[in-house]
Amino acid sequence: MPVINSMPEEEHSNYIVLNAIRTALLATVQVSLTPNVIEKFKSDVLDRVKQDKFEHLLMDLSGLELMDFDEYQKVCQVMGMVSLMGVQPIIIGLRPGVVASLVEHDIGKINYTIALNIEDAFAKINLNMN
Amino acid sequence: MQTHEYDIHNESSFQLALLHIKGVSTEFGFNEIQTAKFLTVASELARNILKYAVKGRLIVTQKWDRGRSGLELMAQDNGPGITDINCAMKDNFSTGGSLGQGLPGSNRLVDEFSISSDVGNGTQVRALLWL
Repeated sequence: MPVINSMPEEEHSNYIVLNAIRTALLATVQVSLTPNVIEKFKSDVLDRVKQDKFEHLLMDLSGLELMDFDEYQKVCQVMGMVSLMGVQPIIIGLRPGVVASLVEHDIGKINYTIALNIEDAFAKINLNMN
Repeated sequence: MQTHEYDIHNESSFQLALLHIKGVSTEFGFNEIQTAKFLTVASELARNILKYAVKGRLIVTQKWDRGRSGLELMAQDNGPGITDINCAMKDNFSTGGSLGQGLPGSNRLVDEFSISSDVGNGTQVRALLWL
């Protein structure tokens, strides 16, 4: 039997990295979307969007190895919130396993723009990096 | 028969259990998609334990049957139980304020799925994914 030690959730909290790329805010998610992580993320994203007037939120989920239905709902909440502020959300880098699970949950159709990777996302919003 | 058991009582124990189950799944031989499916079911069931029963446990066991092998996941709790399992297995049914996709979605992610529940005494969910 493995012995599992408890780990403070706060250690996870700072790993959604936000980077400004011209008119887009890139959010790189590398950790599970626990309640603390998602609440901090919502707050940080809304502050940055209001402060810097971004046109797009690029949500890079390539670091997520699984996304259960609850986490999917949380992601949708963030997307919905920024949409209400006039920002176009784009989901980037869903892994094959995550996609397979979402489809089995009957979430095969997502009403947001999806991109394979960051370059694909830039192309979709005509963001020229040169 | 190798068995791994995880107490689920808060968000940290939940996340650590998933982390360890990921290692077990990979070591067992599941590919990326199978691992993601198995972990997603573990996550849904652990989340249900925290939401409805406050605490419980996940048990992962290797299984063999007629030349094939798989991983079995048991989620056990002593919570309020499920009054109507048939309703709980329907899409969009929920008593917990969610969209009610967790159990039916989990059912579709694995090869075998069953629930037994005793109202007032707890619930046991069994999920099995063959290699």
